[in-house]
Amino acid sequence: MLSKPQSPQLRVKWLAVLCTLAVALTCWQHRAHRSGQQSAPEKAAQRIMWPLQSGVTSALGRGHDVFVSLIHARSLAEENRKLKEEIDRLAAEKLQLHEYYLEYKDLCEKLGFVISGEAKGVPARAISRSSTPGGPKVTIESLDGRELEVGNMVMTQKGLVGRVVVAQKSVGEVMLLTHSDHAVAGMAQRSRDQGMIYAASPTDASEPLLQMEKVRGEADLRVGDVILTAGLSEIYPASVRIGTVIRVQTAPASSRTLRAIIKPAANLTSITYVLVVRSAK
Amino acid sequence: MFYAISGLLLLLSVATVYAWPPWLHIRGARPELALVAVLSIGLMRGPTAGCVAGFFAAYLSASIGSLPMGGQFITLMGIGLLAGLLRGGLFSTRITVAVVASFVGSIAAWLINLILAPPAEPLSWFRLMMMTALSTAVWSIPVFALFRAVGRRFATDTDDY
Repeated sequence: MLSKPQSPQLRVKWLAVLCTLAVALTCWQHRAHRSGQQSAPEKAAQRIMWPLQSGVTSALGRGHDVFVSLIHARSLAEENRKLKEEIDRLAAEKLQLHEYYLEYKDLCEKLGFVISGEAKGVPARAISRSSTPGGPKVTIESLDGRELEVGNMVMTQKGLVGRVVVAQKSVGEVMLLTHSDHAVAGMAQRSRDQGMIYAASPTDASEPLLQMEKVRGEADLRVGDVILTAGLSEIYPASVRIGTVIRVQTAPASSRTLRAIIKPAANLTSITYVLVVRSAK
Repeated sequence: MFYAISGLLLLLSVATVYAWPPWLHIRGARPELALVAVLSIGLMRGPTAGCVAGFFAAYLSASIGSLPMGGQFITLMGIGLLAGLLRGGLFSTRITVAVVASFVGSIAAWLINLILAPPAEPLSWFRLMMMTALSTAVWSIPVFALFRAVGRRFATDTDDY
């Protein structure tokens, strides 16, 4: 129908219909966003696109693996041999650890302690990244199909990444620490000084930074201090690593408070796999 | 048939934009494949088809990228429409035209977004815009070639050149 030569009137009709639809969808989205929700058409599009993105991410990941394998074939063979040796060594170590565990379990039972074992985290992988006006957001999908919930904390082995702000079954959208709407209470591991951590103003630095605000002037913050979550909210538990102080300066708003610039511990520019942890509440 | 395959390719392009792996980023920039797909459909099938493709690409990319829909509709529908108006003239099925149009279209899209959401750091914004336009132009070569091949393969049932 679209391919047949069209009269200008018919073309104008098509354009008018599309423009009306576009305006309606824009208004719907605007109205939903004002109340902090997503509009129904957005949710419908996400339901269609997220499985597709999951497939694309897997395909691109495999493509990358094949590409890397082709380039480093010889070194990979050598690495493979070393890894096989490592596997043998780790298997022996695992056996040893199992023996230790049995001994530990035996001791716990004798002393009357209860062993609680189940891990709390849900492993997930990033399936898409988007840049919103406030900063970056990442869409993740749980690897074992477990459902994600709004407010879940997201972290990597290195440190905190952000929290889930939209969740649909096993897929969720994560607001990163570097998003302008994100805030978390943090404290210095060494001095226990506390402050609020926000995204730092964009600079030419290659990686996004954070800033710790509202730190009292007499606080003992130094370059290299490790910053952890303070555990003041229901979303983030205490003592999760956020990053490291790289600069301390007087806050521009008030000379009686300090501002610390923090380098995030997790690499927020290339997130692949994360751990989703249920809310602390 | 052309529209069915083009629709699938358009969906795939939008999905790929947001799933673009970090190891393929060029200095933090990723190509705007959805824009290239819209442009290709416009160049192959005219302004109405380009505009329809632009509408769906804008709706999908705004939904999954949490972007304001208004800006996306203006940009992608406008690009689809303009690309469609180029069809039939200026060697519109040449890849060179698609490359140039992608470069210009990408910059135009960024400039529209500049009006709707001004950047905090103009210099880094400009650098990212240029890298994105360059990356889009490079990736438009295989993407447009794919659309052109599909267009030629199914030229008999939908041809109106």
